[in-house]
Amino acid sequence: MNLSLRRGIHNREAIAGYLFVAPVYIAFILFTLYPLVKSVIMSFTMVGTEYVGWVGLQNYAAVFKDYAWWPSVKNTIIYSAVVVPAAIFIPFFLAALVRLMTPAAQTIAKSCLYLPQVSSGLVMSLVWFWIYDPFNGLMNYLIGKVGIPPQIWLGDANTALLALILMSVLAGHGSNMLLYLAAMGGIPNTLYEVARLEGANWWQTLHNITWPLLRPTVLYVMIMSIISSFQVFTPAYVMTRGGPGLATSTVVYKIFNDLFTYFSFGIATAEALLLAVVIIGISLIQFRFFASDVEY
Amino acid sequence: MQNKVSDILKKVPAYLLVGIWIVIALTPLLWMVSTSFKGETSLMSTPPKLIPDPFSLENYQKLLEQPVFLWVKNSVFVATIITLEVVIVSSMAGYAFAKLQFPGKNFMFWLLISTMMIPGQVTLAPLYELVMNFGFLDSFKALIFPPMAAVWGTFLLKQFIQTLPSELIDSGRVDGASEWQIFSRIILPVAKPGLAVLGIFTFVAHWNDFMWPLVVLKDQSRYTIQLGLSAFRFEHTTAYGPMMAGATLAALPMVIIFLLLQRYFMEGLTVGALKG
Amino acid sequence: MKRRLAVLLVGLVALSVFSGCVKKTKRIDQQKKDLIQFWVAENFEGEGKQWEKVVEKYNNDNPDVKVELSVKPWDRTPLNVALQAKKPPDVVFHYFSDELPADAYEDLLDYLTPQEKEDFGPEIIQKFTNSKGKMYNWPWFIFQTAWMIGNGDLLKQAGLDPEQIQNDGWTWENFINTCKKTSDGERYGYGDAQSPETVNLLLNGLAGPIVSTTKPVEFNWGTQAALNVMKNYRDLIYKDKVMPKEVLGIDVFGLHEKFQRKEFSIIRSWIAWIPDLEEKGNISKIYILPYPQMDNKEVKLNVGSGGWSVFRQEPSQGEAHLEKVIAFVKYISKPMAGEFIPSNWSGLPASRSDREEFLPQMTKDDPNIALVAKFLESGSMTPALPTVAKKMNEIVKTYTSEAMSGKITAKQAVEKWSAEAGKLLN
Repeated sequence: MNLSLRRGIHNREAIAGYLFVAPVYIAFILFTLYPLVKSVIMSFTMVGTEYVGWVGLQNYAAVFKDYAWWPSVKNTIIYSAVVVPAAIFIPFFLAALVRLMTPAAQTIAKSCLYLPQVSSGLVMSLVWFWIYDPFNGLMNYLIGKVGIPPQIWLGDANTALLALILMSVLAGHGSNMLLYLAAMGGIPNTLYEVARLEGANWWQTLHNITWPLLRPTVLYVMIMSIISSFQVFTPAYVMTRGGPGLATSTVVYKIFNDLFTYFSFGIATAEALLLAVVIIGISLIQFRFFASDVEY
Repeated sequence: MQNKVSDILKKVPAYLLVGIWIVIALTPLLWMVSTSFKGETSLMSTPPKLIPDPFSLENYQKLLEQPVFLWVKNSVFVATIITLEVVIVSSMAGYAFAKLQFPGKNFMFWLLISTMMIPGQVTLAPLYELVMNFGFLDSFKALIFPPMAAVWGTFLLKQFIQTLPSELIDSGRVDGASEWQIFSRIILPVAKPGLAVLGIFTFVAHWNDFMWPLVVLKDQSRYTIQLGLSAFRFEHTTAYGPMMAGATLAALPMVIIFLLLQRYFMEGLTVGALKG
Repeated sequence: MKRRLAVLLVGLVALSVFSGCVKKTKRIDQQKKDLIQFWVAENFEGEGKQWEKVVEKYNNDNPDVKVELSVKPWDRTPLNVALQAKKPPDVVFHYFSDELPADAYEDLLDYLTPQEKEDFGPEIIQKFTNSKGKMYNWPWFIFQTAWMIGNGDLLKQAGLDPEQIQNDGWTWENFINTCKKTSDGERYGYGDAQSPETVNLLLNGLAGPIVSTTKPVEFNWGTQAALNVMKNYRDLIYKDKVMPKEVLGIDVFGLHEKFQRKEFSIIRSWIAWIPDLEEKGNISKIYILPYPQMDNKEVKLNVGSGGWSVFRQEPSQGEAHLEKVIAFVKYISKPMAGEFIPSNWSGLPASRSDREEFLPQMTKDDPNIALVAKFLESGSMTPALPTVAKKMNEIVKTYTSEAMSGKITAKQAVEKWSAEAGKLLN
């Protein structure tokens, strides 16, 4: 292509870029950015429920001195450290295995694994609350069958967080699996043919072809898992109220409490901003390691 | 001959592993459905029973005393509209971020993504005030307009469209197609699996949304189904039986939507567009 | 083709949505009535319907006013969000507390007639007035609904006399012995799914208010009395073994289920549930049991109360509107047509004259209600505490929870909560 044509295309491309992005971005500025900026300002100007004017980092300092802050952070990190890898790898393997099945079986598998998602987090938390009933819940019944003594789960500070983690790990992971499946469908069969002819087995194919080509999707799943696990709230709110003690208090649970129980708007928004900064930091690192425009 | 046998043998572990995981994943759901058919006296039996004994419809009777079908209708209406709008605007923006070049693109994208990191609880009140100032309160508009800021939809489709080969676009340009035509005629059909996935996720997410409708809706006739289910939660207790019945009922439309859309996942990239 | 279809669909939807908007504005213009926004969260099943009847009657009797009832699920989020956004309803039931923005409320003191003031009595007026002298809650009812309740059949089977316990009270040792006598392989003596709340109640009753009500403000639960309470309650699980540790992992609903199935002889719950439990559990009589005395000290229970808040509207709707709102509030605070809604929760009217009129109906031949009424008449109200008390209570509950779950000892719990609460005072 000659130079003037290229420039013309670039102009056209740029205009198109802005126009395509416009609907989302206008709504974004209105409904997301504006409330957000307002909240951020709150963290620097509010003490309790009063608008006091600029208080600098006073709220942030108060957050670090709060007796519930570091336990909440610790719980959130432990939770994420287990749940995020589970959310990345389990559905990946499930997707790879499902691809080996007949189309009919695939439909059944996809439906069954996605199905748990159709009920809300609230309802699932309630169901799991029962499963964890220490007297006659399903969990104690099942582990009794393999010789493990019954646990108190949500009522015991030692097992409460584990209970919440198990709940997330033993999920269907349907949505992430579907994402992987959709992306795997985009890999041309020619690549797999070549690999087969060269004698690669299932694992080698998976490791050397599928995984690298799926990087953008993996990155997406990774970041979304990090965000959602760092922001875990519903199980802590519905099942344990952050207890026993602070055993299941997570950062967002604490934020919710600070907002709606103590009305400490300044502190709550400061905590939210701190959380966001941490998540952004981790995500940036992930992007650096993983994002490369893979094209073939 | 040998290939066939080893083929089948290879696949048995796959079926087994997936099968085990299916059982694990479905257990809570089965429990929910099973509980909905348990009468009040047998809700928590020792030992826990999967098959309700005695089988009872009293929870559903209790449930139907409420305007459940109205709530379901509201949920269907709201979730459908939101899904359509989100898929449309996300695919446009996702494509732009993935494949088009324009100044400030990276900054705009990162700004968009970084807002996902702030938990929604914090922006509840400012958003409520904004929505109230627009006069959307206590109407479906409050539910429908904010999701147009489809941040994670854009993110998802950007990543997905990024995996598509750029040759598609280049060949479109060489053929003299306009940007919109490239988008709608070349990219969209090939991105169908991603669109279907986003569609399902969006539908389910807004079907299950509880917090925001709770805050903005006042008139009970406008309640969505999740909000309606919360009518069974009182200060100190929850009417679990009817609530599980309601949850079971609420899950049904989504199962249907899923089965309708899931065939799109089967369609991958048509390799034919690349050859030759 | 598909794209055009989608665009058409979106266009149609947008059109219908906007037309809906236009219709609504027209409707509002036609209304000239004073709109009173009234939010109610259902305390128990069926309460919403009761309120609908009340509001309908009020709207009919007062044509210049339109009370708009909003029955919300039991979740404080909508109200809190509305308050934070400075757009609250006019009237809402509110467990008053000092930590909401002081300027969110209307001061109701000016609307208290001398007769009403005398009828409520100084203790109630003082209780419903915040630390800045504003009355931000209109008194509605008084109550104490959290008690120990016992399965009369099982108690009598074990050779015990529940009515005697009601009349004479009992010691902590008696209580533990009773639990042991009524438990066997299949049954536990005592269960409590809300131990932090119960411990809080006992601390208030035996160690006094959490923080001093007069200057200098001091934290009061670092004392030996507080330690005894924490230790005794914790020992129920670990030393006396009359309460199973599993009880920490269930909620009140689960506890009720087990009580109905006679797996517990005594539980801690709310007395409003007694008729329901008797019916579902096939129990001939459930008895309210007073809290046992510890170290020869009687648990001095406080009388709780609840009322209506009127929130300030921005922009102000004028004095005439406010008077109409308050007239409505006064109306709904009284028993109506022989019914008093909180009596479902065993609450009694806050006004003395209403109470005298209403009590005889409730007390008829029921030893339980007689016990509660006797307590309510003689009990004193929970004192008004400074703002910091709320956070202190949460801290105490956090460490109570840890102690009950065995993570720390009672002594450690008291040390920790004293240390953290102390920090709040600096």
